[in-house]
Amino acid sequence: MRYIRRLPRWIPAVAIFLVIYFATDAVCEVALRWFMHWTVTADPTMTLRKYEILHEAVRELTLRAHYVVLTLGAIAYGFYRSVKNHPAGSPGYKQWLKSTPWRAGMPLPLGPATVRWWDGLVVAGALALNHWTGESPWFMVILPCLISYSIGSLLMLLTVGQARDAYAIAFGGSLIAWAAPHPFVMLGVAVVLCLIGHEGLRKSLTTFPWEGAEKKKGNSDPWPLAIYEDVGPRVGFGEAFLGVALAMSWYGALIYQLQAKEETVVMEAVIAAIGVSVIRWLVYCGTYRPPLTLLGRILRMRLILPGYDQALVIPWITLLVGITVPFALNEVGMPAAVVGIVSVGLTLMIALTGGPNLRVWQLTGYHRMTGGAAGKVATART
Amino acid sequence: MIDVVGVNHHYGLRPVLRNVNLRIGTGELVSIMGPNGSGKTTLMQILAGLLSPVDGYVEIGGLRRKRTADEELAIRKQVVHLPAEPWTPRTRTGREWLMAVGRVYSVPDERLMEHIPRLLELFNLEDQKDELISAYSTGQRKKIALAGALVTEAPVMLLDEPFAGGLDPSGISALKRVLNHHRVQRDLTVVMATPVPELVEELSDRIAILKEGRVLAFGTLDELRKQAGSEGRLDDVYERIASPRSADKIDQYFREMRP
Repeated sequence: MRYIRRLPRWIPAVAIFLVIYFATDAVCEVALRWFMHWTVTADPTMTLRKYEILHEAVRELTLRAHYVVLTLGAIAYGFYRSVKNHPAGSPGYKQWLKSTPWRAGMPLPLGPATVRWWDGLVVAGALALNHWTGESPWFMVILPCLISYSIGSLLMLLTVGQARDAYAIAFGGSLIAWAAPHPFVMLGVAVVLCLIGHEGLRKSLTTFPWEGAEKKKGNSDPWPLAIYEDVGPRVGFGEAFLGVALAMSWYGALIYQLQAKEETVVMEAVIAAIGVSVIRWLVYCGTYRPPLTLLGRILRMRLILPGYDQALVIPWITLLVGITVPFALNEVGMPAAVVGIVSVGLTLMIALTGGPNLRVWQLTGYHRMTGGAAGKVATART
Repeated sequence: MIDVVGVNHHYGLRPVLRNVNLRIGTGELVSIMGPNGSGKTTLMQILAGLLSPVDGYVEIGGLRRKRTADEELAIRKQVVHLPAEPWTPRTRTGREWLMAVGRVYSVPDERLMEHIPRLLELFNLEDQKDELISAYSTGQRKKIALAGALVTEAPVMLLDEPFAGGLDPSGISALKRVLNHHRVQRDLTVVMATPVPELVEELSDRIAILKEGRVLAFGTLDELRKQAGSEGRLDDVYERIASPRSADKIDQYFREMRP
C-alpha cells in the first residue's frame, strides 16, 4: 500500500478507472450467462440459438455499460478540473492563501486552477478508449466533460462574484439544450462556454481574495446598524430582465425539446401566473396584514385602503396578464415555445419589478405587522 | 520590529480589542496570555492581516499593514501565521505540501530540498513524508503545519496555540528548541498565543496579558512580578493580574460542595 501511495496520484486514479471500465465486461458477461443458465432448454439447436442471442446481448449490454462508465468519468473529470484546485472551492485553502505572499501570476501551491495541456491528453485517452472498446459516438465522451467543466466554472465564478461570466455560461447552457440533438452545434457552444469558464477562472485569480464578493454575501452591517441600509429596489429592472431572460431561455428549450402541445403550454402559463401571483402576495402581505378586516372595511365604508391595497395591485395584474396573454397568443397561432416564453416571462417581470419595492412597502405601507419568524425579523429591522 | 498602535476591534457591537498598544523588538519572543474570549486570536489575526481593525494599525518592519498592495505583499513575505487549527491539504503528501509552501514564500528549490528532510526528521515524520496528509493523525497534521511555517524561513512568526492540537512531547520539545535557536541565531521574531504558563515562562522574553480586549500587563516576567506584587511562578502572577478572584472562587466551590 505504501508503494502505491508513493506513485504519482494520476497512476492509481487511471488504474482504478480502467479496472472499473473493464470489469463492466465481466459483470455483463456473468450476468447474462447466469440468466441463460435458467432459460437453457434440452433442445441443442435452441440452446445454440440462445447462445448466439446471448453474444449479441452481451455485446449490447457491455457497450451501454462502457458508455455509462466513460460518461460518468468524463463528467467527474470536467467538474474536478474546474473546482478542485481553485482557492474559491476550499475555504481553508483560500484562508491560508490569504495570509501568504501568493499573488496572481505565481503558480498555485496545489496545482493550476485552469485547463492545461495534459487535460487534452486525458480527453484524448478517453476518446481512444472509447474508439477501441466502447464505440459510443465520440462527441458523447467530450460533451459531458465540457458541460461539467462549464458547470464547475459557473459555480466558482459565482463564488468569487464574477456574475457576468457566470451568467454567460448559464445562458449558453440553455443554448446547448436548444441545439440538441445536433452534436456539432452543441459541441461548438460547449467549447465556447468552456473558454468563457477558463478565461473567467484565470481572471478570478487576479482579483483574489474576492473581498467584494465576501462583503456582498455576508451581512456587513449587523442589527441594529442594518436599519441604515438603503431602501432601493432589491431587484433592479436590469437584474430582473436578465434573470427572467435566463429562466425563459431554459424554459423555452424545455418546451422545444419535449415538443409540448400549445394547450399544455397555455395551461402551464396559467398555473405559473397563479403561482407567481400568490408568491408575490405572500411575500408582501404574509406578515404585513391589512389594518382593517374585510368586515371592517364594509362597516366603515372604506372599501379601498390605498396605503395597503397598493400591495395587491401587482398580484392582480400578474394574474390578469398571466391568464389572458397565453390564450391570446395561442389564438393568433403563435408556436408553443413563444407562447410559453412570452407569457411566463411577462408574468415574472411584472411580479419582480412592479412597485412598491419590498423595502419601501415594509417601511411605509399602511399595514399591521404580525408574528412569524419573518415578521419578527422585519419588525426588529424596521 | 512589530508595532501595534491603538488597535480597537469589535464584532457587531461587542468590543473585542480596546486600545491595544504593543511594541515587539526584532528577535524577541512575546507570548500573549489571557482568559478565553479575551481577544488573543483576534489580535493574532489582526497581526497576520486576516482581519482589519476597526481602529488603529499594525506596522511590521516599518511597513504598515493594508496601506498599499506593495507594502502588504512585502509584509506577507516576512510574516508567517499559524492559526490554532491550521489548514493543510488532505490530498497532498507532507513533502509536497512543504515544497508548495516554500515556493509560495519564494524559497529556492535547492534550499527546500535541503531543509525539508531535516524538518521532517525533526518532527519524526520521515516515515509519513510520502503519504497523503489525510492519512496523518491530528498530532502529525499539527507537526506538518508547524514544519510548513518553519520552511518559509520568514523572519516573523505568528503562532496561535502552537503547542496545542495533539502535539506529542517530542514535538513540543523540538518546537521549543527550534524557536529558541532561531530567535538567538537568526533574529526570528515570534508572537505566540498560548495558555500554558510553564511554556511561556521558559520561552518568552516578554509576556502580554490580555483581558476583555485590554492589555493588563506587558513586560518581562520580573516586571510582571513587580506589577502583581508576587515573587511566585508565572501562573501565580497571571492569576493575580488577570483573574484575582479565581483562588477565592475555587475555595468557595469546595466550601459549598457537599462531601
